[in-house]
Amino acid sequence: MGSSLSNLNDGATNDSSTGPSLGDIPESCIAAVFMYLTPPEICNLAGLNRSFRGAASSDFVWEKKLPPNYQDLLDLLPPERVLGLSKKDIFAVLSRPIPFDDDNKELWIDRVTGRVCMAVSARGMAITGIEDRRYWNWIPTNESRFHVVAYLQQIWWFEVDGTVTFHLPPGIYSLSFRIHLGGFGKKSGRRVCNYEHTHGWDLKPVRFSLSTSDGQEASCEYYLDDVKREEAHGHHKRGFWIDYKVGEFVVTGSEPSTEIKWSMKQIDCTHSKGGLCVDSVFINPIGDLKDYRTKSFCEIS
Amino acid sequence: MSKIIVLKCVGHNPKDFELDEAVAVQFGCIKDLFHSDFDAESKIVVDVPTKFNSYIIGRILEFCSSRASFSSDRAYWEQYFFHPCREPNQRKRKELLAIMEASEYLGMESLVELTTQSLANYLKGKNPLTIRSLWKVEGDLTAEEEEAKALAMGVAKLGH
Repeated sequence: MGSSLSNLNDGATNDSSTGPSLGDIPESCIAAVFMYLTPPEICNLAGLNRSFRGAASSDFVWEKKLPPNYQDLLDLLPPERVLGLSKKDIFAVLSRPIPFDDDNKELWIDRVTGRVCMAVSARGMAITGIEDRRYWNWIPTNESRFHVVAYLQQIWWFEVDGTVTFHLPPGIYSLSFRIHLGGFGKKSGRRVCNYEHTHGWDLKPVRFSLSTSDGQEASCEYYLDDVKREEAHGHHKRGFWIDYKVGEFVVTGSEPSTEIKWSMKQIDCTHSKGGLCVDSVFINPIGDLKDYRTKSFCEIS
Repeated sequence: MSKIIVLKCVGHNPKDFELDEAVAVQFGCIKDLFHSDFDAESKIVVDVPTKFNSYIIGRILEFCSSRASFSSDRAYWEQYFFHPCREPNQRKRKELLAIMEASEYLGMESLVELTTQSLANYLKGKNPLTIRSLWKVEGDLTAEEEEAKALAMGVAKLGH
């Protein structure tokens, strides 16, 4: 198989005909290789041969891919669903959304990074005036992972608050609101938007903020509609879902759980605003703790 | 007179390697030999399995003795020892695998990490058929296992 040619080229004395091939290396070495690969890459290599298939199913490999607090996620599921599962099966189960808090929140682990992600439905938030159908209505839709969004017709005091407490694994997280300017629906099978109620978002910005139980805070402002609307170019923020990033926070792991609060407000009552859908808040992992420490160190120095 | 450990390679090109303590303690499998009670002047001979030839053991010892003069093991590995490249040739592949397996046997953690990470980079993003062709792997899954694998891949895609 070309090994004699290798010998001719090879001034040194490595006889490649006696060297191991990839198919011969022990499962322990394959498991060590898998430490550097993502779960989808591991599943891809499981088809290589028996040894790779064996290593790709081993608890040793998958335990390292699970977040450190995976038991907290398993506790959200009915016990019979998690009985007798291998670590690989646990990863598969946890990579699908797990509802909690009356199904208004979901947790899952990212298939590539193994980090914990969270989404909170508008239904799980405190929305000022939500009970008054002159202001807000609930619209069922497949465009939301929670199958419902809150549609604002018109209001002066616009405020949406939320909170969650969970034992998140250490890391850096980003929080964002998922918002759609304008209403939407289907007409003859096509998606159509309407802006009959959309107004007021170009006059003053909306203030977004977050805070954590250990004193971290972040805030910012966005105009939700284009301030200078030029007809030739159309509206750049209307008609599709936008994730407005509120800020980042760090979980160090020193506390048993983290409480995160967030808020979106435009409470200047000199003008009304409306024609907007609020779907959810996403809390996404964006880095390891060591990235934060490196970054902080660089900023200080 | 310091203690000496001899690694005895009996495979292709048999050779004995004498290790002083500074090198020998880098191997998890033999460092404890220095702490056992025996005469300071004695020599201990360790037989290396036949599959690890003297060239590979020599390369590993070269790594052990030279790594300290570099800022990190990774720097030494990439700049001098193994030159990671886009696609290794057959000889380099064999060498990487041999060093990986021998380092694991000898308990040389740093080299295990470097070799397994290099191999992971070479395998990333390639489908199994390409890998089998490049790395000369025989597929030994049964027809049933292939079918189960295809089914699992299909389900995984749907789940996305």
